[in-house]
Amino acid sequence: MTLEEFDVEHQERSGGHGGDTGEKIVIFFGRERFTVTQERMTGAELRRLFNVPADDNLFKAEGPKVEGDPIKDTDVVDLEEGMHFLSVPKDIRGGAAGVQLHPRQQEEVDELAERYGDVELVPEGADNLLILSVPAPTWTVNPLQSLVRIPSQYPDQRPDTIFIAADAKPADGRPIPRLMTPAQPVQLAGRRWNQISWHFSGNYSPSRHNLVDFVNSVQIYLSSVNP
Amino acid sequence: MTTALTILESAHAIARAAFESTDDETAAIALATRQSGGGRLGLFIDRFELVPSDGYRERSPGNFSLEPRYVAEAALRAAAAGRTLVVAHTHPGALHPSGFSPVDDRMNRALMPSLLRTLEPPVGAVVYAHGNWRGSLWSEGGREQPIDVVRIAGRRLVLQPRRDRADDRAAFERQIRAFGSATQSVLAALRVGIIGLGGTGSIGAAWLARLGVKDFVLVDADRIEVSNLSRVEGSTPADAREGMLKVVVAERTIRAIRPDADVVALARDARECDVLQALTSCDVLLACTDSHSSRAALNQLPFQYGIPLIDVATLLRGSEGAVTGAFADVRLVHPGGACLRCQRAIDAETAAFEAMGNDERAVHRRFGYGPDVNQPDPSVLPLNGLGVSLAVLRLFDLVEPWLTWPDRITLEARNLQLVEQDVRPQGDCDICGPDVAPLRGDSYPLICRRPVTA
Repeated sequence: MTLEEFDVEHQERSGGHGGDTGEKIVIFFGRERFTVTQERMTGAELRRLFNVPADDNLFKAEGPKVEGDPIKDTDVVDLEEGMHFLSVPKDIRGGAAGVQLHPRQQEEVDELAERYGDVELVPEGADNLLILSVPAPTWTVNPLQSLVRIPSQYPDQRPDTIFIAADAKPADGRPIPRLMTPAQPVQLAGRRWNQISWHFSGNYSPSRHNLVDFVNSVQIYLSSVNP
Repeated sequence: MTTALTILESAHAIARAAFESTDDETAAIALATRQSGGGRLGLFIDRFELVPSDGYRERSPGNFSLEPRYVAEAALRAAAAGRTLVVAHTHPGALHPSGFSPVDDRMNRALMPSLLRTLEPPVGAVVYAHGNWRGSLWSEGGREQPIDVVRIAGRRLVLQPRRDRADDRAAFERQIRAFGSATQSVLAALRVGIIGLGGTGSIGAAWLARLGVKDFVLVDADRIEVSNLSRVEGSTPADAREGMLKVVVAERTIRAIRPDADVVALARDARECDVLQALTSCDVLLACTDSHSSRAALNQLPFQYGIPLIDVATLLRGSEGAVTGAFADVRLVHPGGACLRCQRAIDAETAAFEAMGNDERAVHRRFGYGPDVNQPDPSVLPLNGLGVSLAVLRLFDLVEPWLTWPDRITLEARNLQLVEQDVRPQGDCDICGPDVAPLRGDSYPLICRRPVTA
């Protein structure tokens, strides 16, 4: 592939927010060179152009520094010749403790992984946070990242309340039902979440209730928002 | 392709002190240089940068989380410096795993491909736990390769192999009694480059194979002649008749002792660029060349690639039965020490003459200039053996310190006097001087010769 073909390919992928002058602007994502004809692009357009993973922060680079905050999808970036961008994951988390689950917890997490695809486990204090994507056709983000805290002593401690990605809202514009954090989303696992008042109904019993039921019930909550 | 991470001794010591001073997990980054010659993919670290407090989101005895901005700026700094990035962290607990945990694996799976879009491969991640380093390198396409060997480069050579190749301990039982089982594991993991397979190098190759070394890079362009049969280990009259290459004879000797050895035999000039590149994959070098220009070429490797070099030279002075002097000279060259030039092992005039073509050399000689580099020096097997003995003892000392020798020792055999020579880097030396950055790896060109085809 020649450099020209490479540029054209990237350009075709770009779409564009506007300000198309027909003039070519060369920008860089890491080591890769892109030619665009738009003077302005949104963060979402840049993400698509550069093929940035959803779990990465997109930054504009200025020499050996990053400039400003991570570029949001809705931000509009005025492009200039030679501008550099890069991305790194939003959550850069390592550690020896890792996530060690009790066999019952592991079994239930495996069952959830089978149903919802990749699930993410992030240790937080003594608990583990379970993050997974749940279908949400009546929300602005579908599927919707949801988080459930697995208490360290589950099943003796019950799972309680759910968290949904802070950028998601009912598609019909109505307020988020049962929202517990109206003022400020909470930060967990390096991401922002809205906490939802959602609980096991009736008396919780470790022998009759489990994590799978609780996570499945998240779909009931999400579908309570009708278009 | 094997993989290696080389850490400068001072960087290791500073990091270790910081890592072991807290129960919390500690993270550090290093802007690393690269090495890709000789079938080995390597990274070199001359200093770690501990992540500052505002570079963490969270930090506890079992977990850490880094600010994306900090990591992004570290990647940008590495790219600007023409280097790559190694992300290091500790597992400080006694029961913590020595390698990556599942959380580390997930972090690496997301982070390394992102870094590779900004940085030339490889990028790396390492864990420091229980006094050892373990980790992986990631190549283009995000392919993870566990690091086969971690080297701590300095006055001693600490080698932390991923796999123990010392599978026949009974054969080495006597030396293990003295030097220990760990030393035997290191010997079995060492890749030793031997330059010059004549009167000293051939003995060194055979002895190291007997001691348990299994991985050799041999360099010598010369062929066996009748006059070599009195000194070259393993050579036969048939080799002299057939003009067998010295590296082929040495390889045959090694394989007779250690059939499972890995041997790369290069019948080439050590001064040539691709030969030097192949030697950058070694863990230690045994320089048995009598050529000053070859020494000058090899002299760069301890400082640029962190490879300790043991130079062996013998000198027999005499004429027609009157021996006037016999010396075995062994020099250790290591990062932080004095180079061969500062140890007065390289004569610039002789090196220049060696580099000349025969015609040019003849012209110079006709006008009375220069040493007669084609005139062979006197040599005798037992004196060579003395030199090799000192050199191999020195190699043991690199792995498991037990000697009190200075970096250069000379044995004056006639009066059996050991002369200890104090050597130190000259302030203005562009190889080992204080202003020279260590472990520059492939980021700095080697002074070498293009291969010349006949």
